[in-house]
Parts: sequence; structure tokens; C-alpha cells
Amino acid sequence: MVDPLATFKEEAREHLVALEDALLELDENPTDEEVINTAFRSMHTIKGAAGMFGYQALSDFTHHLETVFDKCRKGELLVSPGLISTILKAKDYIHSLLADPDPAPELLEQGNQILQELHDQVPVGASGEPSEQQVTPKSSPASVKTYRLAIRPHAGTFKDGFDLLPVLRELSGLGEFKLSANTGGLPDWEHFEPDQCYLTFQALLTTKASADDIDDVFIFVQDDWQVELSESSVDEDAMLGDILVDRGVIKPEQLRETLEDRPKLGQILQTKGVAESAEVERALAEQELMREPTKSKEAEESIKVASSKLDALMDLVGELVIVQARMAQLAKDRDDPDIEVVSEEMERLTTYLRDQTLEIRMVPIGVTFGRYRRLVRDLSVELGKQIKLNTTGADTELDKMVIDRLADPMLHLIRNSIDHGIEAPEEREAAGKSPHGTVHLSAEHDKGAVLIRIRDDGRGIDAARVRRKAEERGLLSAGEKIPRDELLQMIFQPGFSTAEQVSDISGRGVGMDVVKRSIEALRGSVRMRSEEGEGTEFEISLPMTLAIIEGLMVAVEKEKYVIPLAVVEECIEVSQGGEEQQSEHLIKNRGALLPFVRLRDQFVVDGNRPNIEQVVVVNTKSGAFGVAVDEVIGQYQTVIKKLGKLYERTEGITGATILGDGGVALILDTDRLASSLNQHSGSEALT
Amino acid sequence: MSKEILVVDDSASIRQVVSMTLQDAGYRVTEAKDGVDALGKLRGQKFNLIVSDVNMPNMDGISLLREIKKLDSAKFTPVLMLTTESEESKKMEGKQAGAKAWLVKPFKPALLLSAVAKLI
Repeated sequence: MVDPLATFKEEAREHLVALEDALLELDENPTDEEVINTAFRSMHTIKGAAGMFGYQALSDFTHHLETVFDKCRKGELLVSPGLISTILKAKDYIHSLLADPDPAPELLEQGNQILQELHDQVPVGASGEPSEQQVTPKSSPASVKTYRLAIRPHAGTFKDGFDLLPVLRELSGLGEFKLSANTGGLPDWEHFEPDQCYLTFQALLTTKASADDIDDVFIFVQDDWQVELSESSVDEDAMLGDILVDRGVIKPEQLRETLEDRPKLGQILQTKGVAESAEVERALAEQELMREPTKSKEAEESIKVASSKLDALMDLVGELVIVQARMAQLAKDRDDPDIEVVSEEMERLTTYLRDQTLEIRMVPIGVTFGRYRRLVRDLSVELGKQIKLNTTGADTELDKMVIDRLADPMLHLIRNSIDHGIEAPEEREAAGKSPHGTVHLSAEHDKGAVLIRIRDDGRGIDAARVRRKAEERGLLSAGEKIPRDELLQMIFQPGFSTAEQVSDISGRGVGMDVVKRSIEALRGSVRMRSEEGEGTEFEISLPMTLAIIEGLMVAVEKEKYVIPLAVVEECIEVSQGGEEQQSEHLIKNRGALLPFVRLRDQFVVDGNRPNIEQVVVVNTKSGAFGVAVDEVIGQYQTVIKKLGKLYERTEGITGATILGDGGVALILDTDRLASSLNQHSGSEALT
Repeated sequence: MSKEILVVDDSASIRQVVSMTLQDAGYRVTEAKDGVDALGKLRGQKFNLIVSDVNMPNMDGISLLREIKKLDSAKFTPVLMLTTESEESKKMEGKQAGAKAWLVKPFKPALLLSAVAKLI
């Protein structure tokens, strides 16, 4: 069971993100009612839950925020950019309050400043001063008071469906309750109507509850019943003591002793028998629950625990997949139909379990998009640029781990676009563009991978300058011929930076190579496209998950390889010297020429080529090509294992997997294979 | 058979605290994250009590109450509203829609349990 406090913190953070998203949305559409409601609800939920978990300062602060924002909801106050900035500040502040239920005085002072700023933005005339609407914090211990109640139910109350007993029981639940019924209203039996209420009551209630709480008990009957409530002004201890003595539970001496000992309320109640010990214990447990939040520290770790558990689950599923594959192999070898049935059933369940586990790890990428909107807003204000962030495909799902690790590289790319890509408004206008720059973030699924694009409509990248720099840094020999596209990728080389001035925003030339490396560590790739004057686009391609893929197993001699099924188009047979084979590196397929690579040659496998080779046609970013192998074995669920440091950089291989018989198969990286094919054949691009 | 309670709240942490409180007292609990979710669950199962928040996305608690009254299987199921709303007008709205009790958050578990015990 997850700690409720951790749930609260995580929930609060989610709501803060939602709030920020909504605020940024309002920045563009200040009157969108639905968005205003979303923002309001986020505040409201945070406030409610915070109170529940003992975060009084947070709850109070959010209450003020909610009060002001409620005016926006009611249309009394316009959502101005200034107000949004203040609420964004408030949002950050709430985030910092989550660390500790009892914030340091400096932090509270900061909160007061934000509230002041907030209240300054609310016009005095706008229905009451928000500062007047403060509620007294409920954290101060409520004192025990005694109330006198006169209850006169409406004669027709039974007919209306409101029984007396639930109300009276609820009152008795509030504290010590003494009730006397007044039967004077009963008529002669001849005139007695069984469905009429003739009773009235006098009651004494000693409770910690406020008058409002008591009123609440009568909420559904207050229109019809006459209820008088008055506070009885007797000293709390004396009152309790008097009652106890009065009831003969204790003697006056004992009362004195008791008063000296200052016992807990619960004990008194228990001694008196008004509350059963179980009830008192429950109440104490509740007290403990309310205190709990103050004890525990950062909840961050609980979130970590959750995701590590998820990783552990994923690992176990991975192991299970391997065991299942071995089982399937065994069943095949034994040729025992009974075992085969079990094996098939197990395969079905394993696949289901795997899919479910993967599903759990999937998170919509929109969560991170939200973060960037704030960044774009803050940076554009800082740089005096006018920049809008558009996003598409926010609901594209990706492994949570991938999303987490992607955050920094993406942040860097977006900063780059804003800092270097998009020009200042004057410059844009001079170039005949709209003064508003746009950064477009998009995500989509593409053949088992996720494509994330970051596009700006800025000045683009000056290829000549990239060339100069590359030559300067010795990354390129002077005058070396290189396709423009390849030249641009030079910016991902370590130590390369085109920024002439080092600015605070996009760093100091560390960056692009780090970006590339972090993305490659996720088994992804990044490319840049840019047209001068038109803009720049970074395209990140990522596998949907890091752990398991569906693959097509192939063999060359005894060596087995796995090709990710997502890229496989078709399998064709090619006989040596047959008409399909056009040259050493080209075959004819469906009337077109298709380049192919022979795995036997690529990985230098000994032995002779069979007469008939199988060619697996795969689709890559740089076009389709064929992979020639001896044999296609079939579809295979693959748990990816890393190859280890020594083999990490091996061209064309992304990992390995353990087979059912304990052997190892290498998993092909078809994109890399394609680029090595390019280099071999010397052609610029595949068709 | 222990009594089954449907807890409706958009806040996961509140749901958790309410559920734990009720489960500790021996009730069985089903959770729903908003009115729409709750209605779906009410169509498939009978509950002894519904504990619902008011301010929720998709369908708020008051609308949920009105919908519940249209369901033959649930229209007599008592509903306890558990909410941060303490405005009289809201409470009256709740009453008119058929709520049997109104508790204000942050609530005391013992109070919730006694309110629940009265309604079931």
C-alpha cells in the first residue's frame, strides 16, 4: 500500500502541472471557461487534500488563491497576464510548501508577499476584499465548549422522511450529549396521529465542535425544525469534572487529582463510559493520522519506490518471457501435445502480462510538453522575443523512463530554438515574417517508434558557418565534400558550438553532443534539418519501450540475429545467379532496385553462402533496404539486454537477447546498418 | 457480508484516506474518480452507501445525485456528500438533489464513520 501522504504529494504535483498548463493556456485565451474551471479545480483539490493531510499553511495559501480565482470563474475579474504571472509564482510557491507541512517563517513571509501581490491585482470594487475572506486556520486546537440546544421538530417531519433518531445520534457523535425528551406535546390517545411528531427536546452537548458544526447536523431539517443553539459559559475542566462528579463516576477528591494530572480528553471520556474504548482508540488513531504528515520527510522517495518497483516488475516479466521461450522450445523438442498446450497457454498469458506491464509504464508525453510551455513563456519574456509554443500529439504515449530521461535533452533543444533560432521581433519583421515566432513541439507514432519534433520558424542554421566552424575544430578537412544534410549533423559533434556569444540561456557549448548522447542512450537518434531563413527542426526518434520488442529471428550459419519486427516489410527469396540479383549490392524487388547488405559479410561469419538466400526487407529512416540471411526462423519476443561497454559502439547492433536454448542472439539496429551500407556503397542516399 | 460503499472523489489522496478509514471499520470500498465513473460503477453493482465529493471534473457531485435518482438500482441508496464546500446554498442544492448528509472536508475519520453508520 502506498503511503497516502505520498499519494497526496504526487497528486498535488500533478495538479500543479495541470494548473500551470491551464494558466499558460489562459495566457492565450483569457476567457476560456473550461480552462478557468480546470485551473480552479486544481487549486480546489490541492486545498482540500492539503487540509486533510495537515498542510495547514498550504491549504490556507491555496484558499486565498482559490478565492481570487473564483472571481475569474464568476467573470468578476479578468484573467490578465499580470494575474497569470502572480498565480504562476504562487504555483511555484505551493510546490515549495509541499516539502514540509510546517514551513519556515521566511517561506511563509514569501507566501504573504505573493498574496499581497495577488490582492493588489484585485480591484477594490470587485465584490469584497479578498483579505477579508480569510478563514481562521483550523490548526489551533478547538476548545471544548458546552452548548444548550432546544430542538422542536416539525410535526410532519416523519412524513417528510426525516427521522429524529439519525439527527440525535449525529449530535451525540459530536461529543458528550445529554438529551431529555419533552412529551408534554402528546395529545390524548384518541387524537394521537401515529405519523405525527409530538416530541420536543432539550439537550446539553459538550463538544470540541463549533456552532457551525452543530448547525450542520440540522442542515436538512433546518427549514422546518426549530432549533435554538446557545453556548453555555462554563469552564471546560470544571464542566467535565462536574458532570463526572454528578454522575458518581468519580469523587470530588478524584476530580481534583484528575485536574492536576491534566489527563487526555479521551481518557476522561473513557472513564466516564460515554465513549467506548474502541471509539477513543479510533479517535486517537485519527489524531495520529493527522500528525503523521509532520513526521515524515520528503515524499520524493515514495515516487522513486514506485518506479523502481515498476522496473523490478518489468525485469521479472523480461525473465518470464525468456523462460517462456525456453519452455516453448522444450515443448517443440519433446513433441508432447500436452506440454505444447500448456506452453501455448503460458505464451498467451506471458504476452498479456508483458503488454499490461508495458502499458503501466506508458505515459502521455504531454506531461512534459506542459513543462516546456512555462519555459517558453519565461524565456521569451526574458529575451524580449514574442514566442508561441504549439504542441501536437500530446497524448502520444511513451515509456515513463524514456520520458524522464528525455526531459533534459528536449529542454536544451527548445532553449536553443528560442535563444539562437527565433529572432527578435524587429529582425523578424525586417525579414518579412510575423513578429511572433513559433516553436512547434510534436509527437507521433511511427513504425514502433515515437517521433518527436521540435521545430522553430527562426533564422535557421547557416550551413557555411557550420562548415567554417567544423574546419576550425578539425572535424572536417578544408574543402572536404560532404552533403549539406550531413554537414548540419556536425553540430552534434563534441565541442561544436555556433553561438558566437555564450549566453546564459543555452549554455556554453556543451550541449548538442550531450543531447545526442543522451538520446542515443535511449536507443534513439536525433537529426537536424534546417533551411536558412525558414527555421530549424530537430527530429528525435525513440523506441516506444526500452525493454522488450517483437522481433523476427533470422540465422546465418549457426548465428542468430533478431530484426525488430516493426521495421520489417517483407521477406523474399533470392537464388544465387537468379534474375532478382542485379549486382553484388542490389536486388530487384517489385520492379524496383533495392540495395541490400549480407549479414554474413557484415559480421564476417565463416562458411559458404547457401544457394537460396532469404532477404528481409526493412524500412529505415533513410529508405528501404534488404538484409540477406541464410534462414528466417520466425517471430520472436525479445528481451533486450545491453551488450556491455566493450561492444556498446558496435555498428549495426543495438543489444542482445538470450534465447530459449540459452544461446545469444544479436539484435540489429537497422538504421545504423543502413548508414554503414551507405558508406560502403558510397551512394548519398538510399532509394 | 460486509457493506459495500462507493467512494467518489477526483482527488486520489482523499479517496485513499476515505477508503482506508472505511476499510479499517470493516466496510468494503469501491472507488470512482468522478460522477461519470461512479455512474458506470453504479450500473454494474449495488452499494449500501455512496460517499461523494461535490466539485469534480466530468460530472460534479450534485449532478451525480440527480443521475442516481434516475437509476432504479440506486435511487434509494443513501448518499453522503463529503466536500470542502460549506456554503449554505450548495448544501441546500445537495439536499434538494437528495443527499442524506453533508460533511465538510477536512473531515475527522471518526465523524465520517459515525455518519456512515447512521446511514447504512
